[in-house]
Amino acid sequence: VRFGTVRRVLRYLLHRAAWGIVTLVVFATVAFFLVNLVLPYDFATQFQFGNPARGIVAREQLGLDRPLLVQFADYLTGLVTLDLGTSFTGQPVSELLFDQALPITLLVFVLGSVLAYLLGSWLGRRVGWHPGGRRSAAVILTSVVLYSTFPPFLAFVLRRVTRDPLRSVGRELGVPVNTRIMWTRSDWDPGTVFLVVGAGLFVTVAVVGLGRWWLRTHGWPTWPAWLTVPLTLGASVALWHATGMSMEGYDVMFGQPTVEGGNVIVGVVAFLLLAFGETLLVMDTTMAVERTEAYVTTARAKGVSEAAIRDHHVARNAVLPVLSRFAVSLPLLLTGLVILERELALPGLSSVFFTAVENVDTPLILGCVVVFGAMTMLVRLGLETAHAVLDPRLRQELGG
Amino acid sequence: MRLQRLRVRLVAGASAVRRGLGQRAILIGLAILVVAIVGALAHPVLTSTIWAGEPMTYRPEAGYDLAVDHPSGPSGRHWLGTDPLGRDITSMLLYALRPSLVIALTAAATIGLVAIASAAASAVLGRRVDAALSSLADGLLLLPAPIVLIIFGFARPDVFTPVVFGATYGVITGLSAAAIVLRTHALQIMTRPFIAAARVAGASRWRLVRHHLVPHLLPLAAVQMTTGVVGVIVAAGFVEFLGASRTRVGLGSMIYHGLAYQGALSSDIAWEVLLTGSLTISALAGAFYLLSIGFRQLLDPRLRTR
Repeated sequence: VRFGTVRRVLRYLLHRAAWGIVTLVVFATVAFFLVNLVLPYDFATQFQFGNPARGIVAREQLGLDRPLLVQFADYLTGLVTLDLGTSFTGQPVSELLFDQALPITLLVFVLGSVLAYLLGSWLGRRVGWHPGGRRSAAVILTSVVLYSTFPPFLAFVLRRVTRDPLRSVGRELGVPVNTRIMWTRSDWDPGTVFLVVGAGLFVTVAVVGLGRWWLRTHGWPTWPAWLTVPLTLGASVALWHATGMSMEGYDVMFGQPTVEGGNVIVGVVAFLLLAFGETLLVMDTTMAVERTEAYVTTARAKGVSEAAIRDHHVARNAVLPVLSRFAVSLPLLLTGLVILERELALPGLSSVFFTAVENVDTPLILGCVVVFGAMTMLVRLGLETAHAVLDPRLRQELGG
Repeated sequence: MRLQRLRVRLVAGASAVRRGLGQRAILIGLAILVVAIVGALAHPVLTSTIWAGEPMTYRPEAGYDLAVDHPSGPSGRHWLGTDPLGRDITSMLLYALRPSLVIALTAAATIGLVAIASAAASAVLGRRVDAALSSLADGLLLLPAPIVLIIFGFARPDVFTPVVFGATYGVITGLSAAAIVLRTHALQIMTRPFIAAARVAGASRWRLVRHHLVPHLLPLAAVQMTTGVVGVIVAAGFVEFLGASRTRVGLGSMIYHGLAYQGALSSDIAWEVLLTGSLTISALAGAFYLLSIGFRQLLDPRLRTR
């Protein structure tokens, strides 16, 4: 990657960020009015039961009697400082969302998506290289079954399958199951633990992944691709021990919050199953199409090995449709994630979200919707950046 | 003249149908959908024929069979067994297909209509309309439609009946994801020579849209409609699964009741209800997903069945 490319990508990103702000404002507007107009309650409603006069007073004190447009302007200014209003419980919405819920959800989401991408593209690359009736049919069947699974059912089955093994593994590792030690015994607060453990995991993923890439491009011998996952996990476990968060780390990843619930690892596996079917399908179809292109014949004529053609020439082209399809399925995947979290009793965003929905806690619901929107936005920006880096045509355009 | 045009259309339509059925994905998807529709329609027929002798046993909402212990497995009397409340699962399943199909088909139709209308407006109504619709689409794209529908379905079950549920989902998806894809295509079509020719010949905007734009957008719209519906089926099933829907017998509420009364009335998990409900939701979602795969393959000649 040359300096010019970096500058172009940066300029492109800046442009996209400006576009992103406009989009976020449009999104916040739609979300605010949709939620406020469809849901009949606000923070003051709770005071008016049995005593309508108190409701009116409360509404005045809270400024909820002002026109919706004025309130919306307030909400927008609050958004800039990440102030999402006050929940019906009296706590700030941002505190409820960001302290513990969001880190867990992000952990499961990012880890699950990355693993789904790795697994789906690895399998799809191999299957699509030798397309045939039965193989392709099997791939389509697998991906349709996975993509259209009813998430509660998936969670139910996974919970039952993993319950006993989880307990015995927990006993082996000395992790007390059914407790959350970081909440009771740890000196750190849960949000920090999740951030350190989660961010640590992503750092190790980045270090291990980029390290392998660097070694390969410089002609050094590397480990086989499948070893990357155990290596990453090992490195992050080492990191927990180094930072003195070993118990908390194990607890985040393996501990069960409730007797019947799963843990983060089970959540990751569930989300992986939900998300990887489509990666597999798109990778498989694109590989099958790309392998008949002229550049493959050229590479073969030059004597490039079959595996190198597959992995370095064809797979590189097949990645782009995979990325764009991921952006399309994102709403469904996020919904699946929220449902899975709830059914596995993970204390992620879904725990806040469903409490909010059950209590018709309008500000909290709106906060959740905004967070989902921001997540979608970030993922789309990330995918677009990846697209821009990977697609030489786009790179050219950016240079203009 | 008119007859001839009709014939040309019929022949073109027939060949399109033949090509479509040649795609295995479309064939299987359609087969599942047809079975579901026939099943839904079969319920009243069954209640008035085979089940007519014992109306109380086979009522989907509150039937009870005194002759067996519940939940029971598949038997000659109850083809798919009974749930913990003693209701016949076959009867519930066929009855529950109705709201699910209404939601799915309403959503599909709304996505198609809204997306085509939005793309056509972008193409012919000038730059300002296009810019406004585009930013609306980008903004709405951040709103995960299934999650929004879970909120609304849960908080306002009185308003969000199957038709409203499907239509709301359709409007959100139709104005965002589907509109973005169709708009790009519509703008491309507008640069083609035949559009310029039609304009010179004095075609009005409305005629341009009706005769030149919509026919070209329909195949892409079909992909978007079927892709989008997967989400609404899952969302609707989940709202019912939470026990919040006003639909008293739905695919999701079957599972909800099965699990909710499992502890109270028996120690066993009601696998019959759980499997029937979840697999049917998956089959419906899968049918639409297969259709979308098939339509996409049809549109891209390189992807046609190998």
